[in-house]
Amino acid sequence: MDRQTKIDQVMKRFAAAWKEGDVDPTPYLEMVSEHERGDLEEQMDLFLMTTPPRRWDPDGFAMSRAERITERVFEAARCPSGDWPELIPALMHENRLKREQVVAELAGDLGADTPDELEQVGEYFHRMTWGTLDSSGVSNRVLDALGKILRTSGEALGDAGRAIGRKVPGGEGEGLVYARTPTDPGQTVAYGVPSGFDSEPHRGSERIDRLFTGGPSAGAGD
Amino acid sequence: MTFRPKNESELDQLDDDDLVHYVVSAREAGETDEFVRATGILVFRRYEAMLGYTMKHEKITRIVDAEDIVGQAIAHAINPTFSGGSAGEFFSRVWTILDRRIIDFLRKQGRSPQTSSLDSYDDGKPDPYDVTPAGGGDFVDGFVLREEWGKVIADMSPRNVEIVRLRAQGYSAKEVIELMQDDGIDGADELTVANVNQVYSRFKRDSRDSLAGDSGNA
Repeated sequence: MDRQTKIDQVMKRFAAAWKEGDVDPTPYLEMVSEHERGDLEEQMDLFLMTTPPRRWDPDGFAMSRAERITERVFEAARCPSGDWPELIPALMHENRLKREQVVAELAGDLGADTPDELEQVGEYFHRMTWGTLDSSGVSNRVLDALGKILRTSGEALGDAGRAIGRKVPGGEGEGLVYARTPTDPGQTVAYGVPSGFDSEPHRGSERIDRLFTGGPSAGAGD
Repeated sequence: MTFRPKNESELDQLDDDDLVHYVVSAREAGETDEFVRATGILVFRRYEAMLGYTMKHEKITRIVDAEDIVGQAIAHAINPTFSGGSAGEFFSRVWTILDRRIIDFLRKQGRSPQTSSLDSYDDGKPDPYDVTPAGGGDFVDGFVLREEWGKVIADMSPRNVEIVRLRAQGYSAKEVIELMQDDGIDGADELTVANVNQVYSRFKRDSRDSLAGDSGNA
């Protein structure tokens, strides 16, 4: 049997198994010698790249690998702060609030009573508006307090934090978020994140850290 | 433009072009639920091929790693640098990014050919993380070829894609015609052995030409 015939035979077996739902090509690659493997891989690649789409099946999707992959797509695609970089500045503009006012009121509501804690709250607030703070870590206590200041609800802020957002990952653009300016809500502009805002605040208290990174129930008993 | 959500039955009826457009529109409109739902259908249609493609590499042995790589590749393919286009362009982009993610994974494992980081991919702009095969490596060399395949396949008719797929499976030109006629594929009745061989060899030639063109432009 010549080399190509052997590869074609293995390919037919792989394609038949594929139709039955066996997606792992490894056993078939082991059926050929090392120097035939490259050609077999090439034919497999071509087969896989041209294979027709599978028909949608909601029952087949539930709990499937496709569902797990979709969850990974969503996690990888979304900005960690969701729509906060757009929503929070827009609400500040709508309510004619300056950043210093918001931070001072928020710090007051959270019981941040030292200059270091005030600065710490300011840094976390910055990260919310720059899109670099993971929304899943922010407590309901912070969201409720901020919601009150921005004349919305903590729940609405929480929903916005879980939205897809507009992160552009990678390369020079790493850490870039797209946000609408308060003065022109329809316009989309890109902001770079100054160095330092991605890192954890160095001063302040663990209690404030927990409120911004400890999850929804953090600080509930304070 | 106002985004109008579709129900599951409507989504299922969308062809790949329209589904890709819908995913991008949902992302642009910030419609998270719709984005996730439509992406799920898009993933479901193709994930087995992408998983198989990823698991082909002997150093990727855990299915969970393959799922991660595929998930990241799709996420990167539909990030805001992709503002829409045909399904062919989208999947060509997915295959390219998938290759880069695989190389990145292998590099991080410390067992791959020497490559630079591959975190970025952006159509139409110089890629600061471009892979330059440093002294070769079969996988990296093959990667460049597969990238060209993706581009050529994106421009082919469904009938010709089917010819390439069946030839890749190891069927002779005569068998390809019989299988396509059995499946009732449009245009299969007029096919001859010479046509099939011509389509397959033209595909290979176009890929090589495209590759040579890219090298010439580099």
